[in-house]
Amino acid sequence: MNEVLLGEEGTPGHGAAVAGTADVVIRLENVVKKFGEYTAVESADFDIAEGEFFSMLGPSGCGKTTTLRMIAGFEQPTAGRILLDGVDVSKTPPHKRNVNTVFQNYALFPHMSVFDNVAFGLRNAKVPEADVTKRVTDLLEIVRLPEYAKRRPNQLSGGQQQRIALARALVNLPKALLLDEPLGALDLKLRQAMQLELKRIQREVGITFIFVTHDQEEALTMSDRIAVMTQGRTDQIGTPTQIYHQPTTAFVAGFIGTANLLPVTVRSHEGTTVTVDSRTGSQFRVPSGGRSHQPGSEVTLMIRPERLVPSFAPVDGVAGGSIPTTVTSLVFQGPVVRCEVQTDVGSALVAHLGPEDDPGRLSVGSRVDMTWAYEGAYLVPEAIDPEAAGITQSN
Amino acid sequence: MVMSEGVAPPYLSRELEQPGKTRKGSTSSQRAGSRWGRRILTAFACLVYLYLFLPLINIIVFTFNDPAGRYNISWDGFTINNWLDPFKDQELTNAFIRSLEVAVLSISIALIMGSLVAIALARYRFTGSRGIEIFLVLPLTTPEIVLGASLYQLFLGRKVVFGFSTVVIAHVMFCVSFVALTVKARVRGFDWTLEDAAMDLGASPWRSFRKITFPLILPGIVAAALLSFALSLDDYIVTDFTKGEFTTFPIQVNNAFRVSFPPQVNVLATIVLIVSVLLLVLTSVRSEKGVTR
Repeated sequence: MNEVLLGEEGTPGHGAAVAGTADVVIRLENVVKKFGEYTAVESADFDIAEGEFFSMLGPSGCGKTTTLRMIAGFEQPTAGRILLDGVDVSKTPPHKRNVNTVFQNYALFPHMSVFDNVAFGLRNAKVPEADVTKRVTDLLEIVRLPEYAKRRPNQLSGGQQQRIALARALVNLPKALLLDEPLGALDLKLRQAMQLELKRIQREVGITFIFVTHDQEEALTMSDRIAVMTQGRTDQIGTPTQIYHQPTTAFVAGFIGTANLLPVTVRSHEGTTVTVDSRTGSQFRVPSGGRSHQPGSEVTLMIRPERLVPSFAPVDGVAGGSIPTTVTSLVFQGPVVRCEVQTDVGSALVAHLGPEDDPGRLSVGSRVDMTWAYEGAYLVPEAIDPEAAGITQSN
Repeated sequence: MVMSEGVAPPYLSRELEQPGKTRKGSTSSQRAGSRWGRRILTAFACLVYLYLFLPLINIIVFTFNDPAGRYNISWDGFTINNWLDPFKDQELTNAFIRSLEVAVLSISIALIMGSLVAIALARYRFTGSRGIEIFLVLPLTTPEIVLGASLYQLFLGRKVVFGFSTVVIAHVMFCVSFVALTVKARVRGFDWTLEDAAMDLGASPWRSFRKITFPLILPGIVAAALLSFALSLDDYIVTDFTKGEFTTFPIQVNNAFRVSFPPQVNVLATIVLIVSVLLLVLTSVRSEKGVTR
């Protein structure tokens, strides 16, 4: 993969472009989609690079599937342009676009054998039958189901149907493969296996994958880059690391993994350090994250649960801050103890405590100061409703 | 349940107990009784079937009759000559062929129109789609005599020449409803993302209809064709109003009965019966295969 894509430089939300080094396969230029009064996609504006595994992540109704359907050609944008290989395809019907889709329910043709399903696209393109046989056989090999060619789709399990749907789309060597929540119908074990399988197949064929999901873990596991969407907006585009560690909005911070979010006010900004005031009157020193913060502005302090430790445990590096709290629950979860605490202004926080944090010393009701290292905190450049402060997580 | 929890007034609880007692008392005799009951039920079912099929059996049996006079009514001796020469009665045969022509033509038209209506109704919601659905049922519920009379009036008022074409128009009219309703039942369960998938894989809208949609709704269309074939072939009332000098098989049979009663009527009727039963068996076997595969 291209270093640019995996670089540490945070992409500043909208208009995030893949810097010129990689070939752009798909470009969305201010794409808007309205259904009557309802705006499904407010403004999708990004590039997808050749060979990239790109995910659109967000809760249901965020516009991710509509965006995918516009790329496929099933919907036409109300405004803006979609470019495929530099050519405007905004008005091109789906059967004339060189992209293929793996549908949520697979949409395999029930009256055709697995072989004929996979061969369908090639036969539409009038590929000679000898080549059809070879390419279909190759693809069934890649998805590891060569012995199922003569079966009917409903004689296959969900996971197998999934692979056939994948083979049927990939056999046409599309410019991009569009996947609409393809793992949604599978059970957890199979889903995790298929995640790795998808990643392997993508590396093997080298085709751009555009993956739509509401499952943040899935997106983090597989993607080179993720676009986090909500209510028709693209909140942030970045690598999984960027999105997890440097969210640009409170929504992204809460949707990706679990986060403790606290409303704070900027007091001063010197060098790379910002000093903020919390609601309880304490002051914390937080890294600026490469942004400049105006004194007096309302921002959000984010601390991931694995960064929060009780004051009696050792802190890695320089201490960043400390909050007096009361323990409200302790749940043993194997590798970590999930410890929920309440601050004196009533916000709930959660800490994942490892054995080195000595969680045995805590009990429900006991008072403890929760602390974090200087690097363990991050400022989200967006105010948060004090009501919504505390633990936020997607599911 | 609620009443038996002690709070129910005495008259209610007594009432509740009563059926329980009788049930208890009858359980021993019920087994013996049920054996008899089952026998009676079987006998009764046989009688019902006999009632349903006696006319058919009668028709088939009398194809082998060798009638003494012109009326094939009483049993006069066994022969297979009627089967060896089923088309002996020229007029009857001609009418039979005309009936087939009417049926084939009107069904072809009705299948195309009805299937398109069904697909449109199942696939799209548009203004007036509810109204169309109600109008579709009307020809099925309207008495045939009303349909026939109104068509007669309509054609007469327009000075249309009665004959083959008016009969076909009339048959198309009532067949369209049957086709549309039968095909709609099949199309309703159709997964339209399959069409999306086909187009996504490079098939033009027409090709995806031909390769995907059509084969999948074909069983519905075949069922509709069989149903309308039966309807068209034996229609009497509407045909009688619209036929003019033209005659179809049912009309000819009725006409012939006034002067003679040839056994060929039975033979041709039996042929129609056998063909329709065969088609029925064939389609049900096919659709069962479709379910299991």
